[in-house]
Amino acid sequence: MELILWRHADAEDGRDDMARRLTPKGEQQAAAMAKWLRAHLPGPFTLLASPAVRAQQTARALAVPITEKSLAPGATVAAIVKAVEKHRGIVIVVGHMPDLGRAAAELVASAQTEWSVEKGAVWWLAGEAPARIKAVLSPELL
Amino acid sequence: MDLILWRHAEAEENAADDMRRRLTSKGRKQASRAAEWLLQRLPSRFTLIASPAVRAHQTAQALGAPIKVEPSLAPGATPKAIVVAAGWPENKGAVVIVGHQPDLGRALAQLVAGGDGRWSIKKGAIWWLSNRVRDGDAQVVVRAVVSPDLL
Repeated sequence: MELILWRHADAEDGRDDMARRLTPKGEQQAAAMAKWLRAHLPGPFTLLASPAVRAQQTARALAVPITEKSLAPGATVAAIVKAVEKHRGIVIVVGHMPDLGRAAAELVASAQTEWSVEKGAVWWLAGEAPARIKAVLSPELL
Repeated sequence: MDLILWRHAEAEENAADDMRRRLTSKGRKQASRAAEWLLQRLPSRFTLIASPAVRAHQTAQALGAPIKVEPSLAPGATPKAIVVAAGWPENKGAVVIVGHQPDLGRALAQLVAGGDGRWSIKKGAIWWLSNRVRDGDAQVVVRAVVSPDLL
C-alpha cells in the first residue's frame, strides 16, 4: 500500500463549512504541492477527495478527483481506510484535520491520537500497518 | 525550535573500524543533495552537531558550516542522548543532528509517537521536526521527511 494523505490548503472562513473556498495563498499552496507530487509520483495514482469545496479545489490542482462522501470533515480512520482499500496502487486522499492526523497516527504507530498535519501538507505512507513514513512535506518547505 | 535529524549518507561496507567508514561516491552525492535542500530552507544561523563517526562527519561537512562533534551521538546513541545533545525542546533556533540508525529512528518514535518503535530512516534522509504550544498543549509537528531519492 502507498497512501498519500493530503490536507486541504489554506481556506477562507465561512458559515457553511462545506462551501469554504481556498484563499489565494491556499491556491498557491495547492499548486506547489501538486507540482511536487507530479515530479515525484512514480506512476499512476488514484485521487480521492472529500466533498468539501476546499478539498475539491486542492485536489484539482493535481487532477480531477473521485469524490468520496465518507471523507467529509469528521471522517473516521476506518472510513478513510475503507475508501482507500477499494483501489490498488498509490492512493491520494485529500481531506481534513483532525481526521488525517488520526489516520497517520493509527497507521504508523497504532496510536489513538492525532498528529499535526499542516494545511496543504502531504504525508506519504508506505507498507501495511505499521506503515513507514516515506515522505512528509509542508508547503512552506517545498 | 526546529530539530533536523539527518542520517549519514551511504558509506563503504568493508572497514575494520566502524567509526572510520567513509562515504561512497554515491553517499557523497546524497549528502550534497540533502545539504543543498537544507541550506535553501534553514535559517541563516543554525547549530550543526555530528556523531564522531567519519561517515556522519563527512555527511555534516556537506553543509559547509562549523561542526560540533558530540561523542554521545556515536552509533548506539539513546533517544535521551540525542534529545539532550539537541537541547530539545527548549533550544531556540534550528539544530541539525547527524547520526545513525536505529538511534535516530528510536528518538523519532519517542518524540513523535511517544513510543518505543524503531522508525525506518533511509541513508541520507532528513526528518524536520518543530515544537509548538497550541491550546496549552505542547505539540510536535513533523514538517518534512525527505530522502535522497525524493530530492
